This record gives sequence, structure tokens and C-alpha cells, in this order.
Amino acid sequence: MKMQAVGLVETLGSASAIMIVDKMLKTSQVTYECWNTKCGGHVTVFLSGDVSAVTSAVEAVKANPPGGEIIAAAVISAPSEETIRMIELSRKKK
Amino acid sequence: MEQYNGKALGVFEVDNLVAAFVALDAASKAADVSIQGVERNRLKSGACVKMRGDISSVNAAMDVAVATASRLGKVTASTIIASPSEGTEVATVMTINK
Repeated sequence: MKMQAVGLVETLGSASAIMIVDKMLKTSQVTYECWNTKCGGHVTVFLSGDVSAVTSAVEAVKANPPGGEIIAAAVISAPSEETIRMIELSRKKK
Repeated sequence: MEQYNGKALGVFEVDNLVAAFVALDAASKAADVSIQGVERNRLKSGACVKMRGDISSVNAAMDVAVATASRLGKVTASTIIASPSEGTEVATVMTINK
């Protein structure tokens, strides 16, 4: 599936990550890809959808974070095949 | 599994995964490099990205990646190995699926 845009949000702790994903899914029409909880208690959440939906979701969460504080958040528009391959890889790795 | 032996190796580490993914996306768009792996070391929350390709595109990709990543997070380290030896190849692959 070709993702128009990928949204990434990194926060501390799985609980706040789940609250963030819940808020983002309710904010706009984005689909949840996977999350990466590999180390250090940091959780990075990957979301895909079209650029405006992903941007509005990330902005909404950055404005008032539901869970813990957000360490970093970014939107990648038109990800390259390498990025998509890496996301697929991190999805299978769990 | 793409054949990576003999290609130049570019490695950079950032202190959060979001900056790593934004940098690897910018790098793969800027130059013709293939990403061998994104790897999160256990100690801190950092993420290390390994890029392979011929030396000129790895150089170009590294400049773009460091510039992009330094806006989002702190670039802990970055290096380029022009022609990795056999041992380096094994070490690179081994740490990815740790």
C-alpha cells in the first residue's frame, strides 16, 4: 500500500503511547502502522495516511499531549521505498 | 536480501528514532543509497542507521542525513567506511537482527 505520508511520535512509556495513538486516530483519518518499543522506555509510534490528516493528527497531539511529554514528533510526506521497507521491517521484528 | 558486500558503509546515530527516520528518508531521497538497517541500541534511546551504496552517494546522503537529523535531535556520531573489510560486513549484519 502506498503511504502518502508517515507520522512519527516518540514518547516515554507505552501507556502514554497508547493514549497518543488513541487521540490521533480520533482526530483524523489516519491508520496505525506499528510501534517500536525497543529500548530505553521510549516508544515511537508510526501512523500513515494522507498528508493533511497525518499533519493535523500530529499537531493535535503536540498541542496538548494526552499522556506523558512528547520527545519528538515529525511528519514525512511521500516516504521513499527505503523508508517504507524500514517500517515494514520494524513491524515484523516485534 | 540485497547484496551489500563491497559497497561503502555510512553509519550515523541520533538520539531519537523520529530524527533517525526523517534523516533516513531524506538521505534515501537525496542519493541512491539503500538502507541496510535501523538499529536501536539498548543503552539509551538512540537509533543507528546503516546506509550502503557507492562512496559518492553515501557521502551525499550522509551530509543530508546529518543536516536533517541535527534539526530534530542530537546527532551522536556519524562515520563513513569507504570499503568495509569482510569482518566489518559480518559485524554490520550481526548487530542488526540482535
